[in-house]
Amino acid sequence: MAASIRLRVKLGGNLATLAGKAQADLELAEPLPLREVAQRAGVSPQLVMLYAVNGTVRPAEYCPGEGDEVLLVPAVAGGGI
Amino acid sequence: MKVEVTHSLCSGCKLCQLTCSLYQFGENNPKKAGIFVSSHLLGDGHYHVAVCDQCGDCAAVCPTGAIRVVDGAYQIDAEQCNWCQVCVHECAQGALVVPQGARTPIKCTACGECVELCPTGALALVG
Amino acid sequence: MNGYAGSILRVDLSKGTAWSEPLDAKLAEDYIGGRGFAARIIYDETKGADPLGPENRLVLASGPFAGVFLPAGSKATFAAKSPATGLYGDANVGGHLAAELKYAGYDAIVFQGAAEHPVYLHVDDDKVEVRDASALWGQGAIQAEVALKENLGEDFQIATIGPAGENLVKFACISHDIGRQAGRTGVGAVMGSKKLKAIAVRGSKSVPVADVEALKRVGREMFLKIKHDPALDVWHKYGLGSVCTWANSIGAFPTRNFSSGYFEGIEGIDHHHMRERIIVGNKACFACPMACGKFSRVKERGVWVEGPEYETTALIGGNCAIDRIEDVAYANYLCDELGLDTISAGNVIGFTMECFEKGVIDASQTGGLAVRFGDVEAFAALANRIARREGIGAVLADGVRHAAAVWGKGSEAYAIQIKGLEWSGYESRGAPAMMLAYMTADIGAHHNRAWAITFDIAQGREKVEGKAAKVIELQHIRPLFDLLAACRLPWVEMGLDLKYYAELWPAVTGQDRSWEDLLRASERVYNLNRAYAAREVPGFGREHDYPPERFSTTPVPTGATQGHYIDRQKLDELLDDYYGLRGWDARGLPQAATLRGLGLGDVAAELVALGRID
Repeated sequence: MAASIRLRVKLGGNLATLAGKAQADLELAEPLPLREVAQRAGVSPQLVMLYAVNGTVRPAEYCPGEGDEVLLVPAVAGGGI
Repeated sequence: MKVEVTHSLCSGCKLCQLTCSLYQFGENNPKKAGIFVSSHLLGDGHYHVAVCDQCGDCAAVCPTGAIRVVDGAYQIDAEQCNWCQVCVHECAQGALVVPQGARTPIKCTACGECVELCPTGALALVG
Repeated sequence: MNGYAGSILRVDLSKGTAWSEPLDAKLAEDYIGGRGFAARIIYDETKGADPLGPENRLVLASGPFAGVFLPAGSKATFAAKSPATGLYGDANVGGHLAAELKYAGYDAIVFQGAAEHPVYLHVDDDKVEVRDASALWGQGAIQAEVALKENLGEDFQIATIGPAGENLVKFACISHDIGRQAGRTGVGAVMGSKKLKAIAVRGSKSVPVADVEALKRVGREMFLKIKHDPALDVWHKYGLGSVCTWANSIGAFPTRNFSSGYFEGIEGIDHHHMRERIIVGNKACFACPMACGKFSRVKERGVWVEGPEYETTALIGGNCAIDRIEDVAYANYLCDELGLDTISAGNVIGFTMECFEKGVIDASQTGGLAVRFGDVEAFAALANRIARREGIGAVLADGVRHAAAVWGKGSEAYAIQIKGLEWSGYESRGAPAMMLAYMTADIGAHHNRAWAITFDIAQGREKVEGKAAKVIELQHIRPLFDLLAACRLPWVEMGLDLKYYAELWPAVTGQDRSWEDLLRASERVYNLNRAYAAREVPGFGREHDYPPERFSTTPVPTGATQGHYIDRQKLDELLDDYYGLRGWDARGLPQAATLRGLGLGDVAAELVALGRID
């Protein structure tokens, strides 16, 4: 049985307002690409401009690992939603 | 105590100048500050920051002894200053300046406010 | 007057004289500053004026939030009656100019008349001179700024025009701070028509504020909030170029003259390539922690450029299908030295490429040049000809609407402009709120009044309901920053809470005024500019708000918005909703009651007397 992958997802700007939370702690059964991690955190990937994992920008296909901190950066933080 | 600069990190925003003016003099006037940003953009693509490195050369040449270490940094006693500006000419950093309409030079007192606010980490307080 | 310098500098270039007027307290109260001052001055002083004639004004306005301890407090507005549209036109520029104006003791400079020979304005606190600029005339915009800085000193803030402005190109821009521009609506041509090559300002005064301790407290909190925001690193690293990949993924990236919203060649011009291949350092405007400017070196061409940022990468990269970042940066550099707005240049040249590939024009019109999508040398050749009004450049220099009128053959359907201003960087067939934003921007097809694409995505692309209300809300709050003369990106991109700006107002000005009241000033300006259009352009109204036919008839062929377009019926629904909410009539003109309700009774009376409104 694969070890679970725990992630802390931080929602930037108005992504937090839209999702109703500034942070989501996830536990995944298997590695998932960042765009799906966003979805699990309650954010449409269409609204995410950049993903950063532990401070480094990564493409949407990148799969974060155990203990990683994911930051979802919106294109527009103020007045966009 | 002194302010140390990593020039390549400076973005040219001059927040340090504005902060210095506000905290030292209570004014919004970046020319009245103890730190100065200049541009070498078409040279090496970077900015340059001139600030006192606490070398003490100004104190050594001051004829009235108006420049002394107070709270860990060289500061100018305005009452003792005789406006001769020898310190301004002596400073290798160009870090002493006489603002328009003033007589006594102003300089960095290493208070650290600009360091705290500098958004790029170009400034550090050391010593 | 706390927050204000207290004077407006007037310059008569026909006579070579300058004088200072006290800032009118009522002007400051009703219009706040920046675009507010500019709009009222243009309304009052350019009735019936020829935009390129001596009667036009060129206004350079600062505002109460410039030069004081708050993030990004230096956003200047250049304004005039636009030679491109015949309407109110303006362009904003960051850098350090708006702040320096305040230190010199001026809230605005208003130029009238025209010099006989090239001049520049020299402002050193109270010492103001109109000086000879013949040696600078003909030089590149940045070249001229560097020459003046070397001559006058590093502490002067300088604005210049390039050959494009000198030759009255209708999308000539005004340049400042080695790589920033007041780009849109041809403000550079107005400056050129006055034979004004440059404006040089130095000030040694402080800006008076009401409550230093409150300003320190609020400002400090804002600066630290941004500094410690985890997303700041992203902005420092990539700037606004990072918007490109995202915009492309959601089908909003202009491609091949807005034939699509998806560019298959995006990877070569994305933020990673930019950072790896050309960026040397970050460049900030005055007191701005975001440092969104990227200073770049294009080694293979031996040039430096600030940029390219989103709009330039969109209009030169995607829109002309130029898929190497070095090529986009080189084209950016060329436009900057020539003094051409990169948005309009990319739009006009993209149009030319489509016309050439379709056979609407051929080598006889292009002077033997093959002009195809993806060809940066063709871009460069055209940019040079436009700046000098040579050959095909003489047609293109008057803008894309004019070029389509000259070449015909149905090309009007894909001359991507509204009211004579070339469309900027967002393909909007899949985003009705953004489409409406472009249709109803006061200066023509520009995105900065209301940016609503994420609203369309979050609420549903197909939906029409609620879109007009959102556009109006954004059209008041985003431009309020331009009235205050501070950049809105700390709020827009870092999400800095608007409450800080509401707190800054009494700290800086000492005035007890609600945020809603400040927004009302912004609404007043919006209606004033619409009224100006109604007065100055015969028959102005609804018909001037529609986008080009391509957007209402042709589905997007590729990408996330494939199949989308917004038909005339839906456009009318959006406009009807918008006009209704604004208190404008079915023709799209402000009703008298609406104007009176905003304190514009004099404007209402004038429009009624002229028979424009009832």
